[in-house]
Amino acid sequence: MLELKQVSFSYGAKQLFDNFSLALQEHQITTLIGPNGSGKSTLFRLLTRAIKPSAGEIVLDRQDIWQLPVKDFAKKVAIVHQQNQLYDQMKVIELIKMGRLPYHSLLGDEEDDNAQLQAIMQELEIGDLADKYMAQLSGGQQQRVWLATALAQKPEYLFLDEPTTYLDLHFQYRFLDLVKKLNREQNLTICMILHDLNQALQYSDQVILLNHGQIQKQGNPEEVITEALIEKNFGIKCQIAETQQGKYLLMSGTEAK
Amino acid sequence: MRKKVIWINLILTILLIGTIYFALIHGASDFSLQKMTNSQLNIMFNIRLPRIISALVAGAALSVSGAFFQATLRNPIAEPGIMGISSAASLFQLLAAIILPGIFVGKIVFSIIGGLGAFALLLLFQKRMTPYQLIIIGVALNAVFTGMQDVFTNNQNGGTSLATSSWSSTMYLLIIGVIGLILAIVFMNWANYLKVNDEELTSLGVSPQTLRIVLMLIAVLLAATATACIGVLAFIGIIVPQIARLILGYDYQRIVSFSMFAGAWFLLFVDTIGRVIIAPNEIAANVILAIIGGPFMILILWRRQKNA
Repeated sequence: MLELKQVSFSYGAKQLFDNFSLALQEHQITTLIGPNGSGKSTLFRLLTRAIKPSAGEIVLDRQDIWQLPVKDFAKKVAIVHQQNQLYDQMKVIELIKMGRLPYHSLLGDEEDDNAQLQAIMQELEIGDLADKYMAQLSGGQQQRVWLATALAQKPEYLFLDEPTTYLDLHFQYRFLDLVKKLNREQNLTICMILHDLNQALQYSDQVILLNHGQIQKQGNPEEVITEALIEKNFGIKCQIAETQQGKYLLMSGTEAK
Repeated sequence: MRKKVIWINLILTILLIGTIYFALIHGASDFSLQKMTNSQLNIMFNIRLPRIISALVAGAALSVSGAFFQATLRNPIAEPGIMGISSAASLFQLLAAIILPGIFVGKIVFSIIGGLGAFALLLLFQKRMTPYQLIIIGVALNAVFTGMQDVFTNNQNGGTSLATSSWSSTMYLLIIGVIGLILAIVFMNWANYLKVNDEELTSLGVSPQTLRIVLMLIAVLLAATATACIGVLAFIGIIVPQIARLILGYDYQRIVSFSMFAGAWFLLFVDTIGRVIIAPNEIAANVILAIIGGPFMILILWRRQKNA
């Protein structure tokens, strides 16, 4: 169980979170949504141990994550960051092997992991890319390599920071389908930030709507992504359309229009 | 790739043996191995041989040191010679000569302290600077240390160079240098990890700061020891690893191994050329390296600019 207990956090003088508590539902896909500056990235960074809260604690299986050795945290929690850097000197296989670092001494031999890594690469359909440099791959392939690196960590929790941002539509949905499959088949607890509310509606078990550093609403997607809440928090007029495949959000524009 | 590595090793071995042989018998006076006088044997064993060994070890040490600097600072033109590490080592070695005259170990220890001091200064700046700004800081530090040294030496050369190699300085260089090079081989894979950014490394359970400090300590040890024994030599730490990347790609296990052997050969080659080309006079290795190294550095930056 990963939870925030009465956490406070501020950027300089600006307090973003005050006495904030939250528990991630295990084995589910939780999506964080909210307008820019709502605190979702900060929350993501708090949960993934990138920034330290000024008060309160973040607890993983009853242990404060800041008391855990970095390696132990990495065995349980894997993160796919938003990639804005091109790795022109890094080969695919080199990167994926690094996913095993939490389990090895830094000077150790990693040969026994090969079968495991091969299986992950097959699963993500990147088996034939092993010897390519990262910069030679398409955005969708790069994203899958980062996911493979995260899976090599054999985590219980997988965090995805806007995983669809640099992908075209086809790869956005292909990636999210993969995420859903991993959640169902490997029982991974997944937490991601998404900007596309229709994707949030379709791919989440839980949605957390944040604004002004507070949870505006938390629950299943259909409870959270409603016309009223979206209009109130994003300033967008919209309409929920029901189809045979499920509910969709149709945006009709800002109030300023 | 395996075939390529075998070929490169073969070529380097032949070059090394050929150049060592050439350097032994050529110089201010040329010898013939068949009939050598006692004084010629003396020159060969007590003057040329230590100089050859010094060049080999220092060339390997400075090239590997350069490769580690580039990995840890994520910068292709980082190098101990142009970033003030070597000149700080040299300045401190001069202080040792004043405080503890005649004790060679003192010179080496002081050099390493000086190198570490300059490295600590660079670390202080590193957090706030882009890689290229950091190079400029390094160049500025270099100017300061060199200037301070000039004050002590009254603007004359500090005196240590390959030409002053003796068996005693060579033995120190050989022992500490080889220890440093073995450490470099043990830890060279860490340089590969640093190709990934710090945030990413942390989430993989690795402390980037630990990687960086260990590699930098090895790099400083290598550069400072070489500097204490043969003086400041810039650019070799950029040229050799960069050629390794061009030929072998970006795996630091390959870059470091190549830099070790190619660096050893390259410095011996440069020194030998300088020794024979206008014999009985000499052109110092640092002069030749600067003449080649400056344009080479511009070329690297030019290529990167074009690729960017």
